[in-house]
Amino acid sequence: MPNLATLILQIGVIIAGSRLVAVLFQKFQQPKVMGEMVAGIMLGPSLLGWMAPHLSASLFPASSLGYLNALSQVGVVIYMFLVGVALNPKSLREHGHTAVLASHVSIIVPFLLGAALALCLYPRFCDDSIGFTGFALFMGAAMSITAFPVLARILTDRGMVGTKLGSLAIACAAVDDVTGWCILAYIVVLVRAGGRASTPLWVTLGGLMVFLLFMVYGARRLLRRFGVACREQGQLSENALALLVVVVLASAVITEHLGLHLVFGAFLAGVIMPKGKRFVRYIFDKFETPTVVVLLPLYFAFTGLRTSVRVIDGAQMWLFCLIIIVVAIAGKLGGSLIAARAAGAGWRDATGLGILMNARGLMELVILNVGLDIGVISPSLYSMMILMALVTTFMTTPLLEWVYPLRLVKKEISELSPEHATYRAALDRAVS
Amino acid sequence: MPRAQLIAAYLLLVGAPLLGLLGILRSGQRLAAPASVGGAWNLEGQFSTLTDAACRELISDIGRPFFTISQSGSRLTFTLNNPQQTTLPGTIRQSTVTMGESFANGSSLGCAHPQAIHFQAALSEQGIQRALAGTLTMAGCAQCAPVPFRAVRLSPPVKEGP
Repeated sequence: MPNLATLILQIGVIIAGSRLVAVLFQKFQQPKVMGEMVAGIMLGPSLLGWMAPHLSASLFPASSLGYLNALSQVGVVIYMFLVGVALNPKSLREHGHTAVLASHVSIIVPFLLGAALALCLYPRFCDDSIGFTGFALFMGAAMSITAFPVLARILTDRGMVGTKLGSLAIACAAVDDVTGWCILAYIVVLVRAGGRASTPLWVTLGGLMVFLLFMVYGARRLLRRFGVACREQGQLSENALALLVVVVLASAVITEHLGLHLVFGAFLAGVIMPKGKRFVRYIFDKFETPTVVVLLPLYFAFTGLRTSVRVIDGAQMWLFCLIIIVVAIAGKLGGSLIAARAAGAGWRDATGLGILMNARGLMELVILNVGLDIGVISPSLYSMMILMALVTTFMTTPLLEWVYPLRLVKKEISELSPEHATYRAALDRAVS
Repeated sequence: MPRAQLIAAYLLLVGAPLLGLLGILRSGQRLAAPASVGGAWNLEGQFSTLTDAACRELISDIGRPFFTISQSGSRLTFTLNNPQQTTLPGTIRQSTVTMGESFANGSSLGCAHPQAIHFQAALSEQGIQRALAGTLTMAGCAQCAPVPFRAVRLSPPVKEGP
Protein backbone atom coordinates (compact mmCIF):
# COMPACT_ATOMS: atom_id res chain seq x y z
CA MET A 1 0.00 0.00 0.00
CA PRO A 2 1.29 3.47 -0.76
CA ASN A 3 1.91 5.84 2.09
CA LEU A 4 -1.07 8.06 1.32
CA ALA A 5 0.14 10.91 3.51
CA THR A 6 3.43 11.01 1.57
CA LEU A 7 1.63 10.87 -1.77
CA ILE A 8 -0.79 13.66 -0.84
CA LEU A 9 2.08 15.76 0.52
CA GLN A 10 3.98 15.22 -2.75
CA ILE A 11 0.96 16.27 -4.81
CA GLY A 12 0.48 19.40 -2.69
CA VAL A 13 4.14 20.41 -2.90
CA ILE A 14 4.25 19.78 -6.66
CA ILE A 15 1.07 21.76 -7.42
CA ALA A 16 2.13 24.67 -5.20
CA GLY A 17 5.67 24.69 -6.61
CA SER A 18 4.54 24.54 -10.22
CA ARG A 19 2.00 27.36 -9.72
CA LEU A 20 4.59 29.58 -8.07
CA VAL A 21 7.19 29.12 -10.78
CA ALA A 22 4.57 29.37 -13.55
CA VAL A 23 3.36 32.74 -12.18
CA LEU A 24 6.96 33.93 -11.99
CA PHE A 25 7.63 32.88 -15.59
CA GLN A 26 4.44 34.54 -16.81
CA LYS A 27 5.76 37.83 -15.42
CA PHE A 28 8.62 37.43 -17.91
CA GLN A 29 6.19 36.83 -20.80
CA GLN A 30 6.89 33.09 -20.80
CA PRO A 31 4.11 30.52 -21.29
CA LYS A 32 3.15 29.00 -17.96
CA VAL A 33 4.00 25.50 -19.19
CA MET A 34 7.61 26.68 -19.28
CA GLY A 35 7.46 27.56 -15.58
CA GLU A 36 5.81 24.23 -14.77
CA MET A 37 8.53 22.34 -16.61
CA VAL A 38 11.24 24.24 -14.73
CA ALA A 39 9.42 23.66 -11.41
CA GLY A 40 9.49 19.91 -12.11
CA ILE A 41 13.24 19.99 -12.74
CA MET A 42 13.77 22.05 -9.57
CA LEU A 43 12.02 19.40 -7.44
CA GLY A 44 14.33 16.67 -8.74
CA PRO A 45 17.97 15.81 -8.05
CA SER A 46 19.14 18.78 -10.12
CA LEU A 47 18.21 21.30 -7.43
CA LEU A 48 16.24 20.05 -4.40
CA GLY A 49 18.10 16.73 -4.31
CA TRP A 50 21.38 18.58 -4.57
CA MET A 51 20.73 21.39 -2.10
CA ALA A 52 18.65 19.44 0.45
CA PRO A 53 19.24 15.72 -0.14
CA HIS A 54 17.61 14.63 3.12
CA LEU A 55 14.50 16.71 2.51
CA SER A 56 14.36 15.39 -1.05
CA ALA A 57 14.74 11.78 0.13
CA SER A 58 12.00 12.14 2.73
CA LEU A 59 9.64 14.00 0.38
CA PHE A 60 10.23 11.74 -2.62
CA PRO A 61 11.35 8.35 -1.25
CA ALA A 62 12.17 5.92 -4.06
CA SER A 63 9.43 3.54 -2.89
CA SER A 64 6.74 6.18 -3.47
CA LEU A 65 7.70 7.14 -7.01
CA GLY A 66 5.75 4.29 -8.59
CA TYR A 67 2.48 5.82 -7.40
CA LEU A 68 3.49 9.30 -8.47
CA ASN A 69 4.43 7.88 -11.87
CA ALA A 70 1.07 6.12 -12.21
CA LEU A 71 -0.83 9.34 -11.48
CA SER A 72 1.37 11.36 -13.82
CA GLN A 73 0.83 8.81 -16.62
CA VAL A 74 -2.94 9.20 -16.21
CA GLY A 75 -2.39 12.93 -16.63
CA VAL A 76 -0.35 12.56 -19.78
CA VAL A 77 -2.89 10.10 -21.22
CA ILE A 78 -5.70 12.66 -20.80
CA TYR A 79 -3.46 15.44 -22.07
CA MET A 80 -2.55 13.50 -25.22
CA PHE A 81 -6.25 12.86 -25.72
CA LEU A 82 -6.85 16.63 -25.57
CA VAL A 83 -4.01 17.23 -28.05
CA GLY A 84 -5.69 14.77 -30.40
CA VAL A 85 -9.10 16.42 -29.91
CA ALA A 86 -7.60 19.85 -30.69
CA LEU A 87 -6.15 18.62 -33.98
CA ASN A 88 -8.40 19.75 -36.79
CA PRO A 89 -7.72 18.41 -40.29
CA LYS A 90 -9.48 21.51 -41.69
CA SER A 91 -6.61 23.76 -40.60
CA LEU A 92 -4.34 21.75 -42.91
CA ARG A 93 -6.75 21.76 -45.87
CA GLU A 94 -7.09 25.54 -45.69
CA HIS A 95 -3.40 25.91 -46.52
CA GLY A 96 -3.21 23.09 -49.04
CA HIS A 97 0.10 22.18 -50.61
CA THR A 98 2.04 25.05 -49.05
CA ALA A 99 1.42 23.79 -45.54
CA VAL A 100 2.23 20.22 -46.55
CA LEU A 101 5.54 21.29 -48.09
CA ALA A 102 6.42 23.59 -45.18
CA SER A 103 5.54 21.02 -42.55
CA HIS A 104 7.29 18.12 -44.27
CA VAL A 105 10.48 20.16 -44.70
CA SER A 106 10.23 21.34 -41.09
CA ILE A 107 10.21 17.66 -40.09
CA ILE A 108 12.79 16.18 -42.43
CA VAL A 109 15.53 18.80 -41.93
CA PRO A 110 15.73 18.50 -38.11
CA PHE A 111 15.21 14.75 -38.51
CA LEU A 112 18.24 14.57 -40.82
CA LEU A 113 20.37 16.67 -38.48
CA GLY A 114 19.25 14.62 -35.47
CA ALA A 115 20.20 11.39 -37.25
CA ALA A 116 23.55 12.90 -38.29
CA LEU A 117 24.19 13.87 -34.67
CA ALA A 118 23.42 10.26 -33.72
CA LEU A 119 26.57 9.22 -35.61
CA CYS A 120 28.55 11.14 -33.03
CA LEU A 121 26.42 10.32 -29.96
CA TYR A 122 25.82 6.60 -30.51
CA PRO A 123 29.28 5.28 -29.51
CA ARG A 124 29.44 7.68 -26.56
CA PHE A 125 26.00 7.52 -24.98
CA CYS A 126 24.48 4.21 -26.08
CA ASP A 127 25.09 0.56 -25.43
CA ASP A 128 24.84 -2.42 -27.73
CA SER A 129 21.30 -3.32 -26.60
CA ILE A 130 20.08 -0.60 -28.97
CA GLY A 131 20.85 -0.70 -32.67
CA PHE A 132 22.04 2.41 -34.47
CA THR A 133 18.91 2.61 -36.65
CA GLY A 134 16.53 2.80 -33.69
CA PHE A 135 18.72 5.34 -31.92
CA ALA A 136 19.19 7.55 -35.00
CA LEU A 137 15.47 7.51 -35.81
CA PHE A 138 14.66 8.38 -32.22
CA MET A 139 17.10 11.31 -32.23
CA GLY A 140 15.56 12.47 -35.50
CA ALA A 141 12.03 12.28 -34.10
CA ALA A 142 13.05 14.03 -30.87
CA MET A 143 14.63 16.87 -32.86
CA SER A 144 11.67 17.31 -35.21
CA ILE A 145 8.78 17.44 -32.74
CA THR A 146 6.82 20.66 -32.18
CA ALA A 147 4.77 21.52 -29.12
CA PHE A 148 1.43 22.08 -30.82
CA PRO A 149 -0.39 23.13 -27.59
CA VAL A 150 2.38 25.55 -26.52
CA LEU A 151 2.51 27.01 -30.02
CA ALA A 152 -1.26 27.49 -30.07
CA ARG A 153 -1.16 29.09 -26.62
CA ILE A 154 1.61 31.54 -27.60
CA LEU A 155 -0.28 32.50 -30.77
CA THR A 156 -3.51 33.00 -28.82
CA ASP A 157 -1.80 35.06 -26.10
CA ARG A 158 -0.28 37.32 -28.77
CA GLY A 159 -3.49 37.51 -30.81
CA MET A 160 -1.70 36.00 -33.80
CA VAL A 161 -4.00 33.06 -34.52
CA GLY A 162 -5.69 34.67 -37.49
CA THR A 163 -2.57 36.15 -39.02
CA LYS A 164 -1.01 34.56 -42.09
CA LEU A 165 1.91 33.35 -39.98
CA GLY A 166 -0.29 32.09 -37.15
CA SER A 167 -2.58 30.00 -39.31
CA LEU A 168 0.35 28.56 -41.29
CA ALA A 169 2.15 27.69 -38.03
CA ILE A 170 -0.94 25.90 -36.68
CA ALA A 171 -1.34 23.90 -39.88
CA CYS A 172 2.37 22.95 -39.94
CA ALA A 173 2.38 22.02 -36.24
CA ALA A 174 -0.70 19.83 -36.75
CA VAL A 175 1.03 17.90 -39.54
CA ASP A 176 4.24 17.73 -37.47
CA ASP A 177 2.39 16.28 -34.51
CA VAL A 178 0.68 13.50 -36.47
CA THR A 179 3.85 12.67 -38.42
CA GLY A 180 6.01 12.80 -35.30
CA TRP A 181 3.80 10.39 -33.35
CA CYS A 182 3.60 7.99 -36.30
CA ILE A 183 7.41 7.97 -36.56
CA LEU A 184 7.76 7.47 -32.82
CA ALA A 185 5.30 4.57 -32.91
CA TYR A 186 7.43 2.97 -35.64
CA ILE A 187 10.59 3.48 -33.56
CA VAL A 188 9.03 1.90 -30.48
CA VAL A 189 8.04 -1.13 -32.56
CA LEU A 190 11.53 -1.27 -34.09
CA VAL A 191 13.37 -0.98 -30.77
CA ARG A 192 11.16 -3.49 -28.99
CA ALA A 193 11.44 -5.94 -31.87
CA GLY A 194 15.23 -5.76 -31.55
CA GLY A 195 15.22 -6.10 -27.79
CA ARG A 196 13.64 -8.28 -25.17
CA ALA A 197 10.13 -7.23 -26.02
CA SER A 198 7.33 -9.07 -24.27
CA THR A 199 5.02 -8.65 -27.28
CA PRO A 200 5.99 -10.41 -30.55
CA LEU A 201 6.40 -8.07 -33.54
CA TRP A 202 3.62 -9.73 -35.53
CA VAL A 203 1.21 -9.18 -32.67
CA THR A 204 2.19 -5.50 -32.50
CA LEU A 205 1.90 -4.86 -36.25
CA GLY A 206 -1.18 -7.00 -36.90
CA GLY A 207 -2.94 -5.82 -33.78
CA LEU A 208 -2.15 -2.20 -34.55
CA MET A 209 -3.54 -2.51 -38.07
CA VAL A 210 -6.79 -4.07 -36.82
CA PHE A 211 -7.03 -1.52 -34.02
CA LEU A 212 -6.48 1.44 -36.37
CA LEU A 213 -9.13 0.17 -38.79
CA PHE A 214 -11.55 -0.35 -35.93
CA MET A 215 -10.95 3.13 -34.49
CA VAL A 216 -11.13 4.98 -37.82
CA TYR A 217 -14.03 3.11 -39.43
CA GLY A 218 -15.90 1.69 -36.44
CA ALA A 219 -15.43 3.69 -33.26
CA ARG A 220 -15.32 7.02 -35.08
CA ARG A 221 -18.83 6.52 -36.48
CA LEU A 222 -20.17 5.62 -33.05
CA LEU A 223 -18.45 8.63 -31.50
CA ARG A 224 -20.23 10.97 -33.92
CA ARG A 225 -23.25 10.59 -31.66
CA PHE A 226 -21.34 12.41 -28.95
CA GLY A 227 -20.85 15.35 -31.32
CA VAL A 228 -24.54 15.34 -32.29
CA ALA A 229 -25.68 15.15 -28.65
CA CYS A 230 -23.36 17.98 -27.70
CA ARG A 231 -24.58 20.14 -30.60
CA GLU A 232 -28.25 19.54 -29.77
CA GLN A 233 -28.17 19.62 -25.98
CA GLY A 234 -25.05 21.69 -25.37
CA GLN A 235 -23.57 18.97 -23.16
CA LEU A 236 -23.16 15.23 -22.71
CA SER A 237 -24.93 13.19 -20.08
CA GLU A 238 -22.79 11.84 -17.23
CA ASN A 239 -23.12 8.34 -18.67
CA ALA A 240 -21.94 9.52 -22.10
CA LEU A 241 -19.02 11.35 -20.54
CA ALA A 242 -18.05 8.23 -18.57
CA LEU A 243 -18.27 6.17 -21.76
CA LEU A 244 -16.03 8.66 -23.54
CA VAL A 245 -13.42 8.38 -20.77
CA VAL A 246 -13.62 4.59 -20.98
CA VAL A 247 -13.00 4.78 -24.76
CA VAL A 248 -9.87 6.91 -24.17
CA LEU A 249 -8.52 4.66 -21.42
CA ALA A 250 -9.30 1.48 -23.37
CA SER A 251 -7.54 2.87 -26.43
CA ALA A 252 -4.48 3.73 -24.31
CA VAL A 253 -4.42 0.30 -22.67
CA ILE A 254 -4.77 -1.49 -26.01
CA THR A 255 -1.79 0.32 -27.59
CA GLU A 256 0.23 -0.38 -24.44
CA HIS A 257 -0.63 -4.10 -24.64
CA LEU A 258 0.17 -4.14 -28.35
CA GLY A 259 3.72 -3.22 -27.38
CA LEU A 260 3.49 0.52 -28.16
CA HIS A 261 2.83 3.07 -25.44
CA LEU A 262 -0.19 4.47 -23.63
CA VAL A 263 0.18 7.90 -25.23
CA PHE A 264 -0.43 6.62 -28.77
CA GLY A 265 -3.83 5.18 -27.93
CA ALA A 266 -4.88 8.31 -26.05
CA PHE A 267 -3.77 10.53 -28.94
CA LEU A 268 -5.57 8.34 -31.49
CA ALA A 269 -8.77 8.45 -29.42
CA GLY A 270 -8.55 12.24 -29.49
CA VAL A 271 -7.92 12.39 -33.23
CA ILE A 272 -11.02 10.34 -34.08
CA MET A 273 -13.33 12.34 -31.82
CA PRO A 274 -15.92 14.64 -33.47
CA LYS A 275 -14.45 18.01 -34.41
CA GLY A 276 -17.50 20.22 -33.95
CA LYS A 277 -16.56 23.46 -32.19
CA ARG A 278 -19.12 22.99 -29.41
CA PHE A 279 -17.99 19.43 -28.72
CA VAL A 280 -14.30 20.37 -28.65
CA ARG A 281 -15.05 23.31 -26.35
CA TYR A 282 -17.12 21.06 -24.06
CA ILE A 283 -14.38 18.43 -23.80
CA PHE A 284 -11.80 21.09 -23.00
CA ASP A 285 -14.09 22.66 -20.39
CA LYS A 286 -14.49 19.30 -18.69
CA PHE A 287 -10.94 17.98 -18.83
CA GLU A 288 -8.45 20.77 -19.37
CA THR A 289 -8.36 22.41 -15.94
CA PRO A 290 -7.97 19.29 -13.74
CA THR A 291 -5.42 17.90 -16.19
CA VAL A 292 -3.35 21.06 -16.51
CA VAL A 293 -3.58 22.18 -12.88
CA VAL A 294 -3.30 18.86 -11.05
CA LEU A 295 -2.10 15.99 -13.22
CA LEU A 296 0.40 17.55 -15.64
CA PRO A 297 2.50 19.14 -12.88
CA LEU A 298 2.89 15.59 -11.51
CA TYR A 299 4.22 14.55 -14.91
CA PHE A 300 6.65 17.48 -14.94
CA ALA A 301 7.75 16.59 -11.41
CA PHE A 302 8.20 12.93 -12.30
CA THR A 303 10.23 14.00 -15.33
CA GLY A 304 12.26 16.28 -13.07
CA LEU A 305 12.88 13.45 -10.62
CA ARG A 306 14.38 11.43 -13.48
CA THR A 307 16.47 14.36 -14.70
CA SER A 308 19.77 15.14 -13.09
CA VAL A 309 21.80 17.95 -14.52
CA ARG A 310 24.63 16.59 -12.39
CA VAL A 311 25.00 13.55 -14.66
CA ILE A 312 26.12 16.01 -17.34
CA ASP A 313 29.55 15.88 -15.82
CA GLY A 314 32.65 17.57 -17.19
CA ALA A 315 33.42 19.94 -20.04
CA GLN A 316 33.05 17.28 -22.74
CA MET A 317 29.51 16.38 -21.65
CA TRP A 318 28.49 20.04 -21.53
CA LEU A 319 29.97 20.50 -24.99
CA PHE A 320 27.78 17.67 -26.28
CA CYS A 321 24.81 19.25 -24.54
CA LEU A 322 25.55 22.55 -26.29
CA ILE A 323 25.91 20.77 -29.64
CA ILE A 324 22.53 19.06 -29.13
CA ILE A 325 20.89 22.42 -28.42
CA VAL A 326 22.52 24.09 -31.43
CA VAL A 327 21.58 21.21 -33.77
CA ALA A 328 18.01 21.21 -32.45
CA ILE A 329 17.63 24.95 -33.07
CA ALA A 330 19.39 24.88 -36.45
CA GLY A 331 17.29 21.93 -37.62
CA LYS A 332 13.86 23.06 -36.53
CA LEU A 333 14.17 26.84 -36.78
CA GLY A 334 16.37 26.69 -39.88
CA GLY A 335 14.36 23.92 -41.53
CA SER A 336 11.04 25.68 -41.00
CA LEU A 337 12.53 28.97 -42.20
CA ILE A 338 13.78 27.35 -45.42
CA ALA A 339 10.44 25.63 -45.89
CA ALA A 340 8.46 28.84 -45.47
CA ARG A 341 10.75 30.74 -47.82
CA ALA A 342 10.40 28.00 -50.42
CA ALA A 343 6.63 28.20 -50.00
CA GLY A 344 6.76 31.91 -50.80
CA ALA A 345 6.69 33.53 -47.34
CA GLY A 346 8.69 36.70 -46.63
CA TRP A 347 11.76 36.68 -44.39
CA ARG A 348 9.88 37.95 -41.34
CA ASP A 349 7.07 35.39 -41.63
CA ALA A 350 9.53 32.60 -42.42
CA THR A 351 11.69 33.42 -39.40
CA GLY A 352 8.58 33.71 -37.23
CA LEU A 353 7.44 30.28 -38.36
CA GLY A 354 10.88 28.86 -37.57
CA ILE A 355 10.82 30.34 -34.08
CA LEU A 356 7.32 29.02 -33.37
CA MET A 357 8.04 25.53 -34.69
CA ASN A 358 11.21 25.40 -32.57
CA ALA A 359 9.14 25.38 -29.33
CA ARG A 360 9.14 21.77 -28.13
CA GLY A 361 7.62 22.03 -24.68
CA LEU A 362 5.72 19.15 -23.17
CA MET A 363 5.62 17.11 -26.39
CA GLU A 364 9.40 16.73 -26.22
CA LEU A 365 9.19 15.62 -22.60
CA VAL A 366 6.64 12.94 -23.54
CA ILE A 367 8.87 11.67 -26.37
CA LEU A 368 11.97 11.67 -24.16
CA ASN A 369 10.19 9.79 -21.38
CA VAL A 370 9.06 7.17 -23.90
CA GLY A 371 12.68 6.95 -25.11
CA LEU A 372 14.03 6.50 -21.59
CA ASP A 373 11.33 3.93 -20.73
CA ILE A 374 12.15 1.74 -23.72
CA GLY A 375 15.90 2.19 -23.15
CA VAL A 376 16.70 3.91 -26.44
CA ILE A 377 18.38 6.84 -24.68
CA SER A 378 20.59 6.77 -21.63
CA PRO A 379 19.99 8.84 -18.46
CA SER A 380 22.67 11.38 -19.31
CA LEU A 381 21.44 11.88 -22.87
CA TYR A 382 17.90 12.16 -21.48
CA SER A 383 19.02 14.99 -19.18
CA MET A 384 20.77 16.78 -22.05
CA MET A 385 17.69 16.50 -24.25
CA ILE A 386 15.50 17.81 -21.41
CA LEU A 387 17.73 20.87 -21.22
CA MET A 388 17.39 21.25 -24.99
CA ALA A 389 13.58 21.15 -24.65
CA LEU A 390 13.72 23.83 -21.94
CA VAL A 391 16.04 26.12 -23.93
CA THR A 392 14.09 25.85 -27.19
CA THR A 393 10.77 26.50 -25.43
CA PHE A 394 12.18 29.34 -23.36
CA MET A 395 13.58 31.21 -26.37
CA THR A 396 10.32 31.20 -28.34
CA THR A 397 8.49 34.20 -26.85
CA PRO A 398 11.41 36.67 -26.66
CA LEU A 399 12.63 35.77 -30.16
CA LEU A 400 9.11 36.05 -31.56
CA GLU A 401 8.69 39.48 -29.95
CA TRP A 402 11.99 40.52 -31.54
CA VAL A 403 11.14 39.29 -35.03
CA TYR A 404 7.39 39.80 -34.97
CA PRO A 405 6.64 42.56 -32.43
CA LEU A 406 3.11 43.03 -31.18
CA ARG A 407 2.72 46.36 -33.04
CA LEU A 408 3.16 44.46 -36.32
CA VAL A 409 0.60 41.87 -35.26
CA LYS A 410 -1.90 44.65 -34.49
CA LYS A 411 -1.13 46.36 -37.79
CA GLU A 412 -1.61 43.15 -39.77
CA ILE A 413 -4.89 42.36 -38.03
CA SER A 414 -6.21 45.90 -38.59
CA GLU A 415 -5.47 45.55 -42.31
CA LEU A 416 -7.38 42.30 -42.69
CA SER A 417 -10.37 42.39 -45.01
CA PRO A 418 -13.78 41.67 -43.41
CA GLU A 419 -13.67 38.22 -45.00
CA HIS A 420 -10.33 37.52 -43.37
CA ALA A 421 -11.52 38.99 -40.10
CA THR A 422 -14.36 36.45 -40.01
CA TYR A 423 -11.87 33.69 -40.76
CA ARG A 424 -9.56 34.98 -38.05
CA ALA A 425 -12.38 35.06 -35.52
CA ALA A 426 -13.31 31.47 -36.40
CA LEU A 427 -9.70 30.38 -35.99
CA ASP A 428 -9.42 32.25 -32.70
CA ARG A 429 -12.48 30.45 -31.38
CA ALA A 430 -11.25 27.09 -32.63
CA VAL A 431 -7.84 27.43 -31.04
CA SER A 432 -8.59 29.29 -27.86
CA MET B 1 2.89 28.18 -56.07
CA PRO B 2 2.67 26.49 -59.52
CA ARG B 3 2.38 22.70 -59.39
CA ALA B 4 5.68 22.01 -61.23
CA GLN B 5 7.55 24.39 -58.92
CA LEU B 6 5.95 22.74 -55.90
CA ILE B 7 7.01 19.27 -57.04
CA ALA B 8 10.56 20.49 -57.72
CA ALA B 9 10.72 22.15 -54.29
CA TYR B 10 9.33 19.00 -52.66
CA LEU B 11 11.89 16.76 -54.38
CA LEU B 12 14.74 19.07 -53.44
CA LEU B 13 13.73 19.90 -49.88
CA VAL B 14 12.18 16.60 -48.82
CA GLY B 15 13.56 14.00 -51.25
CA ALA B 16 17.22 15.00 -50.93
CA PRO B 17 17.25 15.00 -47.09
CA LEU B 18 15.47 11.61 -47.17
CA LEU B 19 18.28 10.21 -49.29
CA GLY B 20 20.76 11.75 -46.86
CA LEU B 21 18.93 10.08 -43.99
CA LEU B 22 19.18 6.70 -45.69
CA GLY B 23 22.93 7.31 -46.16
CA ILE B 24 23.34 8.13 -42.47
CA LEU B 25 21.41 5.03 -41.38
CA ARG B 26 23.59 2.92 -43.66
CA SER B 27 26.91 4.39 -42.53
CA GLY B 28 25.87 4.19 -38.88
CA GLN B 29 25.65 0.40 -39.07
CA ARG B 30 29.44 0.31 -38.81
CA LEU B 31 29.44 2.04 -35.44
CA ALA B 32 29.84 0.03 -32.27
CA ALA B 33 28.56 1.00 -28.84
CA PRO B 34 29.91 -0.34 -25.53
CA ALA B 35 28.48 -3.65 -24.31
CA SER B 36 25.25 -3.35 -22.38
CA VAL B 37 25.76 -3.90 -18.64
CA GLY B 38 22.81 -1.92 -17.30
CA GLY B 39 20.43 -3.68 -14.92
CA ALA B 40 20.51 -5.57 -11.64
CA TRP B 41 23.46 -7.82 -10.73
CA ASN B 42 24.17 -10.44 -8.10
CA LEU B 43 27.62 -10.92 -6.63
CA GLU B 44 29.08 -14.26 -5.57
CA GLY B 45 32.39 -14.78 -3.78
CA GLN B 46 34.04 -16.00 -0.62
CA PHE B 47 33.63 -12.76 1.27
CA SER B 48 34.03 -14.55 4.59
CA THR B 49 37.76 -14.35 3.87
CA LEU B 50 37.66 -10.60 4.43
CA THR B 51 39.64 -10.35 7.66
CA ASP B 52 38.17 -7.10 8.89
CA ALA B 53 34.80 -7.81 10.50
CA ALA B 54 33.40 -4.40 9.59
CA CYS B 55 34.29 -4.92 5.92
CA ARG B 56 32.69 -8.39 6.01
CA GLU B 57 29.55 -6.94 7.58
CA LEU B 58 29.46 -4.15 5.02
CA ILE B 59 29.28 -6.68 2.18
CA SER B 60 26.69 -8.85 3.96
CA ASP B 61 24.68 -5.69 4.63
CA ILE B 62 24.11 -5.31 0.90
CA GLY B 63 21.05 -7.25 -0.20
CA ARG B 64 20.31 -9.14 -3.39
CA PRO B 65 20.49 -8.01 -6.11
CA PHE B 66 23.81 -6.67 -4.95
CA PHE B 67 23.94 -3.65 -7.20
CA THR B 68 22.24 -2.06 -10.18
CA ILE B 69 24.05 -0.33 -13.01
CA SER B 70 22.77 2.70 -14.86
CA GLN B 71 24.65 3.03 -18.14
CA SER B 72 25.33 5.99 -20.43
CA GLY B 73 27.73 4.68 -23.05
CA SER B 74 30.99 3.84 -21.30
CA ARG B 75 30.01 5.75 -18.13
CA LEU B 76 28.39 3.66 -15.43
CA THR B 77 26.72 4.49 -12.15
CA PHE B 78 26.57 1.65 -9.63
CA THR B 79 23.92 1.74 -6.91
CA LEU B 80 24.58 -0.67 -4.06
CA ASN B 81 21.49 -2.30 -2.61
CA ASN B 82 22.31 -1.20 0.95
CA PRO B 83 20.09 0.95 3.16
CA GLN B 84 22.00 4.09 2.08
CA GLN B 85 21.71 3.18 -1.64
CA THR B 86 25.37 4.10 -2.03
CA THR B 87 26.27 5.20 -5.56
CA LEU B 88 29.68 4.68 -7.12
CA PRO B 89 31.00 5.79 -10.49
CA GLY B 90 32.30 3.24 -12.96
CA THR B 91 33.37 2.69 -16.53
CA ILE B 92 33.34 0.04 -19.20
CA ARG B 93 36.30 -0.07 -21.55
CA GLN B 94 35.94 -2.81 -24.15
CA SER B 95 35.31 -5.82 -21.91
CA THR B 96 36.67 -4.45 -18.64
CA VAL B 97 34.24 -3.08 -16.08
CA THR B 98 35.47 -0.96 -13.20
CA MET B 99 33.44 0.04 -10.17
CA GLY B 100 34.47 2.78 -7.75
CA GLU B 101 37.82 4.42 -7.42
CA SER B 102 41.01 2.57 -6.71
CA PHE B 103 42.21 4.30 -3.57
CA ALA B 104 45.70 3.57 -2.37
CA ASN B 105 46.01 1.63 0.86
CA GLY B 106 45.83 4.01 3.78
CA SER B 107 43.11 6.07 2.13
CA SER B 108 41.20 8.30 4.50
CA LEU B 109 38.05 6.30 3.73
CA GLY B 110 39.35 3.40 5.78
CA CYS B 111 37.77 -0.01 6.26
CA ALA B 112 34.04 -0.65 5.86
CA HIS B 113 33.35 2.62 4.09
CA PRO B 114 30.81 1.87 1.33
CA GLN B 115 32.66 4.18 -1.06
CA ALA B 116 35.78 2.05 -0.57
CA ILE B 117 34.33 -0.95 -2.38
CA HIS B 118 36.18 -1.24 -5.65
CA PHE B 119 36.46 -3.86 -8.34
CA GLN B 120 37.80 -4.43 -11.79
CA ALA B 121 36.29 -7.31 -13.74
CA ALA B 122 36.23 -8.91 -17.15
CA LEU B 123 32.89 -9.05 -18.91
CA SER B 124 31.73 -12.20 -20.67
CA GLU B 125 28.66 -12.25 -22.92
CA GLN B 126 26.34 -14.96 -24.11
CA GLY B 127 23.39 -13.38 -25.88
CA ILE B 128 21.79 -11.08 -23.35
CA GLN B 129 23.38 -13.08 -20.50
CA ARG B 130 26.23 -11.08 -19.02
CA ALA B 131 28.70 -12.09 -16.32
CA LEU B 132 31.61 -10.40 -14.63
CA ALA B 133 34.66 -12.09 -13.15
CA GLY B 134 37.23 -10.11 -11.23
CA THR B 135 38.65 -9.09 -7.90
CA LEU B 136 36.95 -6.99 -5.25
CA THR B 137 39.04 -4.88 -2.94
CA MET B 138 38.21 -2.77 0.07
CA ALA B 139 40.30 0.19 -0.95
CA GLY B 140 42.10 1.77 1.97
CA CYS B 141 41.72 -1.29 4.20
CA ALA B 142 45.15 -2.74 4.83
CA GLN B 143 43.82 -5.84 6.60
CA CYS B 144 41.53 -7.21 3.91
CA ALA B 145 43.02 -9.05 0.98
CA PRO B 146 41.36 -8.79 -2.45
CA VAL B 147 38.53 -11.31 -2.96
CA PRO B 148 37.90 -13.00 -6.32
CA PHE B 149 34.24 -12.82 -7.31
CA ARG B 150 31.75 -13.55 -10.05
CA ALA B 151 28.71 -11.39 -10.78
CA VAL B 152 25.74 -12.32 -12.94
CA ARG B 153 23.27 -9.90 -14.48
CA LEU B 154 19.77 -10.75 -13.35
CA SER B 155 17.77 -8.32 -15.42
CA PRO B 156 18.86 -6.28 -18.41
CA PRO B 157 16.80 -3.11 -18.82
CA VAL B 158 13.50 -4.41 -20.20
CA LYS B 159 12.13 -2.63 -23.25
CA GLU B 160 8.75 -1.97 -21.75
CA GLY B 161 6.56 1.01 -21.21
CA PRO B 162 6.32 2.75 -17.86
